[in-house]
Amino acid sequence: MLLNKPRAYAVMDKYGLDGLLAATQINIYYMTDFWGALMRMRRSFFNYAVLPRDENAPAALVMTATEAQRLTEMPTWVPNVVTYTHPVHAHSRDYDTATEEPDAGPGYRWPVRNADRLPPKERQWEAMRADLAEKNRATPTYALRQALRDAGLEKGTIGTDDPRPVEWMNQLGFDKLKGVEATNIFREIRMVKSTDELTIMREAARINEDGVNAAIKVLHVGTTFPEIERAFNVEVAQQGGRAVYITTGSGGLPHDKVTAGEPVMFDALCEYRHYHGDIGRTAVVGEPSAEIVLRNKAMSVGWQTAYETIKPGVTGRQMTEKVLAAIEREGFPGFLVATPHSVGLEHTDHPIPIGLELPGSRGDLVFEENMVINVDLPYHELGFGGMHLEDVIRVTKDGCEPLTSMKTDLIVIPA
Amino acid sequence: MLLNRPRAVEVMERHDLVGLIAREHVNIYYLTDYWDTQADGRWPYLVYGVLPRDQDMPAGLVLPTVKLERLSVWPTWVPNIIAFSDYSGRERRDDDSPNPDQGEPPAIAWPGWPVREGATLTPLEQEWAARAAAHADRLAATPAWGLKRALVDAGMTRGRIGSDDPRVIGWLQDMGLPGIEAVDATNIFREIRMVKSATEIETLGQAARVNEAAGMAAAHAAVAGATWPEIETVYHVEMSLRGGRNGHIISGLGGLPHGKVVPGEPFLIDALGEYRNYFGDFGRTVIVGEPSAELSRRADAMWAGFERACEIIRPGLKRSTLIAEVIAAVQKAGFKDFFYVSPHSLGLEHTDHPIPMGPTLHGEWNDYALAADMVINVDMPFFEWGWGTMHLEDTVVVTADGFRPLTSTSPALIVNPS
Repeated sequence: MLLNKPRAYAVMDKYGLDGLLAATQINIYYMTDFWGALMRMRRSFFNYAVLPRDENAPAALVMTATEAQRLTEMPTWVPNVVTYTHPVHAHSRDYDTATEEPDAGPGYRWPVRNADRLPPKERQWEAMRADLAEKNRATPTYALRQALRDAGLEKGTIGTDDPRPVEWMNQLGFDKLKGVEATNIFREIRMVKSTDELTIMREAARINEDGVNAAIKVLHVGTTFPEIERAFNVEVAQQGGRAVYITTGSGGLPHDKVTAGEPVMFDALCEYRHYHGDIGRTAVVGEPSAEIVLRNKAMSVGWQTAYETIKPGVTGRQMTEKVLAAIEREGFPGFLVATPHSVGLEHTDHPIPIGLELPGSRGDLVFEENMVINVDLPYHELGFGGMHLEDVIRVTKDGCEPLTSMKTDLIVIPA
Repeated sequence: MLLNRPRAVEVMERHDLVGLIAREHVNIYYLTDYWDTQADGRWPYLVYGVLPRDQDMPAGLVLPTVKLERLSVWPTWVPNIIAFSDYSGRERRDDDSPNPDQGEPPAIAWPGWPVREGATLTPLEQEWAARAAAHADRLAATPAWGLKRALVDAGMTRGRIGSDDPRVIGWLQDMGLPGIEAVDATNIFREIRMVKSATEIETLGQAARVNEAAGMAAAHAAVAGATWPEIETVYHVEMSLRGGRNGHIISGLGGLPHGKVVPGEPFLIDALGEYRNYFGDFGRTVIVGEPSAELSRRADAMWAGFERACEIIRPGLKRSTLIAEVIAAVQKAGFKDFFYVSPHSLGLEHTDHPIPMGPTLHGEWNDYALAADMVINVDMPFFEWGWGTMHLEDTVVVTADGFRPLTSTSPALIVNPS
């Protein structure tokens, strides 16, 4: 189970919530372990997840009946799977939505041949179809209403990452149901990882580091960014991940290609089972100048400082101040960015200001055990080049544990 | 420009909108041509696109100041670029509860990355330095305040505004724009996007080619005993080699029935991959070993269905008619059990046309008629437990008097030696 259930309950209590409703894909996945084909297609409002605060009420997954077979590939722990049919043909009857629920369509019943000799998976699919057919609702919205009803959430206060479904529930008769903006509430829950999440994130970190190393391997004088990107993307794909991006700075390579002696920064992000790996490195083709070597060493000391500083209770601000001071002390004045961020289903997997909130208004990031943290140490100097260091760690009870290699040395490639 | 601006104006007029705010990354990209790493890292609320209906007013793009350099890689046609002060942990503001009635708070300074004294900057570096300097003294305090500026500059301070995330409009009302009204525009964006611009059709053509080539490579890798992860890896690697993104390839929704490829049992591949954030979508049937007469007949019948689609696809054809005609053609050709066709517009979403949301039910309203420059997939899957699965799916662009294929329309059945 991806969900850190005890933390979810604690955070719901903190905000006085009777439940959570997820409409965005990452939160549906987090709450149910399920990532369906419609989610992959970027289709919004066709899947939902419901987590009631009442531990005896059933959590729910709303999904199309057409995809039910996928539960054998991607099983959910959620006890209440509520399906809807997915009509191809137009539905013409009018309904009074406040009082009537439209009938569900019949759903697809694929033909069966030699029913007594089906392999186990197909037997399971057919049984699943028959079981769910009894409970199909007409649309995702009506399925959500059923899921909320089953969870005892016809009224009360629920946190949601999109307010629209709650408005629809109000229109469909749940007029005492109140929605609370929960984009950052979900992040607050997710920022402390469960055991299953940590297992995935170790793999994501490993694949991503292999990817960036493969990208660095193709460097020579004249390498272009697309060549770097391709090497990263292919390596990550070969290992079962999904390349998200690799950058050599926001604007690309200053000369449009790699030049001898100019440091190149790499910042690479990949996904494995929808969780991110994130890493930063510096490489130079040809003999590095003494200044580059000194700067990289200073940044390494900065990283080591972060590693030795981070533990439960320490704030991000305290860490940043120590890291910047260490880098300056090592002879790299003017280094200015040392940003810790939680990583997970989002690149920045902790609450960050949205809407009218201002920077800092949510207080300092405070490290907790089982947070997965990246410390971002990027540096650009126009006319000099780019440098970067970034590794992934898990916060332990009294310190931290690396998920990447922490090989922070400057990577030098012969010209 | 990805945006089909004449259509956007027409659709905004139809819905009585003064403009659009894009918060979803696909819509920001569509309005501005700019794709941010924020989109890839799944951050919402840091980048916005603004399109006023009045074409004399400036469209806007709101982005973090540290991403200004990225405009060299993903240039935008949008004239009004508003950078906000990037605060990603390195700085903080202690007056954490300002009163929005007092207007926009001062932005935290960000002069740009240092410039080496005496260095000769490359043209790109000169461009980056110029961008940083141009924005340094007019940074917005936050993304939301940057969005408010974009609306004011675009003259969108009153009236109905469509957004794919209406909660943003609520924030703007609280920030001093009480005269604006929120309209959920998730399907309005789809309504605009379903008729493609020339740039989009070109990109979708590339997406179709890349995705088909990767899908075919995966299909040919399906030897007896191969597992789905092995086939999937071939697809992902081939996509990456061709400049696409991994995407998603499936063989039915529950995987291979036997957990591996079995000679003589047909299975489908359905490949959905991205190229420059646009989807390619391609499907075929694969068999290892000699196909049975029944399989060959069924594949021919499905091909007859696709040919029927090709005969009738033209502007004005109703989606429901296309479905009925294709199913009838397949059945007439001898495949009586075939019953499912799902034509769908393809683009930044797999289903790139309005679809029911909320309490809205399917009905006449979403039985759309084809229009020139729509890009359509004719999706024809078939499952039969105990026998196997089949699929035929190609991509076409609707032209003034018919269609032009974007995939190769290669044979329906892929036969691999056993």
